[in-house]
Amino acid sequence: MNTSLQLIREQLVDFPTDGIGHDGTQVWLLVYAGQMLGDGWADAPSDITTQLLFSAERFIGLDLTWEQHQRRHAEILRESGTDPVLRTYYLTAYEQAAADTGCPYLWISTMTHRHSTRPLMVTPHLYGAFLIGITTISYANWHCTTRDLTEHGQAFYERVRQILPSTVLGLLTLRGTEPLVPTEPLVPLVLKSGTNDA
Amino acid sequence: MRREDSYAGFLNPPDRVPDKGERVWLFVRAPTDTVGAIVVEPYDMIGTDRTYEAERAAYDALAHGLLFDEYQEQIERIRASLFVPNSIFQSERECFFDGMVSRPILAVFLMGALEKRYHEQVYTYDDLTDDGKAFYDFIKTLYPGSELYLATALET
Repeated sequence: MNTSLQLIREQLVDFPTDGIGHDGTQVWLLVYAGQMLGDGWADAPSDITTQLLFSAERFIGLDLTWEQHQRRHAEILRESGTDPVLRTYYLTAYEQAAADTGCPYLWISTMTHRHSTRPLMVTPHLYGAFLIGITTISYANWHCTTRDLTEHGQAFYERVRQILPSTVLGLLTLRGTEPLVPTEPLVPLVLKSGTNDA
Repeated sequence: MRREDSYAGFLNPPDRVPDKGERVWLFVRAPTDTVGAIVVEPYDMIGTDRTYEAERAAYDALAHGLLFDEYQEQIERIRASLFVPNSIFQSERECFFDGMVSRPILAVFLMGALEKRYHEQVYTYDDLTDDGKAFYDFIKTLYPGSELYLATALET
C-alpha cells in the first residue's frame, strides 16, 4: 500500500528505493519560530507556537541536528565500551545522543503517554508542522534532508519558509506510520457526525 | 507590535475590536485516525470556522437557561470532530492536563497572530488575504480527503 498517495497528493519526498523493512517512515516539515530558539526567546510573543510529541524510539533524525547527533552517538558508544545498549535506565544510546544534541529544537518531554512506558520527545516552538512524506518502507540509516525533496517538495519548503518571520525549517524523520502518539484511547470517540458543523 | 510588523501573516481582518489579541491556526484533520499527529487545542480557543454557528447556538441556549454542564457537553460534542478531552498526556506527577487535544492531524499552521483583536467572531476563509486563500486552497488540494479547520484563539 502506498500510503503517501492516499494522504498527500503530490510526492514531496523522494524516498530511497532500498528499504530494509516495512515498519514505515514519516517525514514532517517543522516550522520553528526562530525568535524563540535563541537567547531572545523571552521577547517573543507567547501562545503562538505549538509542539509535536512522539515516542523516543520513533526518532530517526532531524536534519538540523543530524551531524551533532551522530557524533554524540559515536561518542557515547566509545564511552560505554562494548555495552552500546543503555546509557541511562530509560534511553538508548541513540536516543540519549539525540536528547544531548537536540536543544533548542528537540528534547525529552516531561509529559508522558498514558499507554506507553517510553519517554516522549518533543519538538517545541513550532509555528506549524506538515506531514510531507509517508511510506510503508523503513531504512537502515536514512533521514530526510532538503536534498531528498522533490521539485514539488522544494517549492513547498520555500513557500512555507517565507510566510512568517524568523522561520527556521526542520525535516523530522520518524519510524512507523501510525500516529505520533498512540491514538487507541481516541478511537472509541470517533463519532463523525453527519451534520455540516461537526 | 503593529500589524504590519509581521505576524498578520495570512489574515485580512475586518475593523478592529478593542480587546486582547488573537491567533488563527489552520488544522488539517486526517481522513483516518490511523495516521497523523495529536496536538493540543490552542489555548483560549473561541471556536473554529466549521463549528462556530453550532457553538453560538449552544451559547444562546446557555443565555436562555441551559445548565452550564449541559452547555459544556454540547460544546464538546460540537467540537468532537477535531478536538476531544485529553486522556492520554499526563504530567510528571501523572496528572492529566485539563485540556483538549486534537484528533490525528496531517498539518497544523499558524495563519497569523495579532496583538489586537480585529474580529468579534471567528476567522473564516473569507477573512484570509489572497495569499492566505491561495495557501489554504493549496493545502486542501495537497491533502485529499482531509478536512480543514480555521481555529481562532485569543492572544493572552
